[in-house]
Amino acid sequence: MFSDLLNKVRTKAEAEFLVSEIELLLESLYEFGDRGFDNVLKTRVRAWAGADIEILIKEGGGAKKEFLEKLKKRIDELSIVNLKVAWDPTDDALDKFYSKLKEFLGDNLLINLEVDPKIVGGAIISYMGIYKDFSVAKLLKDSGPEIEEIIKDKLHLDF
Amino acid sequence: MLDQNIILAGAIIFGVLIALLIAMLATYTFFLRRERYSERLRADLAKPDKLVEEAQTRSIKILEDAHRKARDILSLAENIIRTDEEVLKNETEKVAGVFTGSFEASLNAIKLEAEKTLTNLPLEIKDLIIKSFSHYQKTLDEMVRQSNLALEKAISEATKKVSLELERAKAKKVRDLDRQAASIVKEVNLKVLGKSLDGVEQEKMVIKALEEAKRQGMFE
Repeated sequence: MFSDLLNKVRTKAEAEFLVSEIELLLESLYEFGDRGFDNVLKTRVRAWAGADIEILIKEGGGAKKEFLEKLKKRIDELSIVNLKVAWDPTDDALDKFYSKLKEFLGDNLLINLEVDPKIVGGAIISYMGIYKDFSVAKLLKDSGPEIEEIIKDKLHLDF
Repeated sequence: MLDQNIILAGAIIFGVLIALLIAMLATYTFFLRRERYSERLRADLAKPDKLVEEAQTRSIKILEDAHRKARDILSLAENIIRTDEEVLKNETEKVAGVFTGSFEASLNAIKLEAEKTLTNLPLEIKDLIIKSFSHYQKTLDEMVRQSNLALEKAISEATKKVSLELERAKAKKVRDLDRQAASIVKEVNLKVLGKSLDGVEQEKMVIKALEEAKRQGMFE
């Protein structure tokens, strides 16, 4: 039911933004009823999210409050993969990471993305209490002088 | 006639007695004055010792103060290990200056005091004081000489110690700087390396990292 919508939410930050929009819609329902809800949906929710929510409510029989609460609960239940990378990835790169993780873990996940140039390259991943450091910084730290020399030669650096 | 002779003899005897009495009084007065003079002389003779003793006490106190000041400054000099040798040199000169200055001040004070007192004393007492004072001055000179030697030795040892500590501190600082420099160079180079990797390479490395995590059973 929620898959189409949730597949567009790849990161924890995006999910938090969607949750804030759901809360706005719920508030508008409590305070102003259907008219308030429609108004907020058009004026304060992103277009693609608003359109998806509208379609899904119709498909579900029109019970707005129940739908929004279920959606919010569903988002809270998503698994989170912490992913630290060295540069701010493009939208396309983020899609690739998300697809790769879905391939491994299925649909119900979010990426908690963190950018830290100090790791130089690669990624540091943590999931369900397991931590793995596949960063270039770690590789260089662990590598012997010969690997350091190869990198130096390739990149014309002086360590 | 007989009565006249008796009166004359009585007058002569009376005159002799009067003369004798006057002579006795004169003799008594002479001895009394002499005794008083002797007493005064004895009292005056007692003063020089006291004077010299007081001068000695005062000058020793001045010397002790000078030593204390010198030690304080020396202690300060030991504490400046982390500064530099020039500061140490200045402190050493200051120590010597304070010590010499205090010694000269003590001698001047004693001299002025002695001159003031000597002007008002009889000649024989002056001689006595001058003799005592010159003896005392010799003793004082010797004390100062010994103190100077001890102080010079202490300063020399402190200087050696400070120089050694300075050398050690410098060597340690140089080692620390070398380490820091190496660390900074490495950090800068890592940043350069990170920037030299473009988005495509970064993306590939992240995908490889995810695959490696899967291979190691992280997502089971």
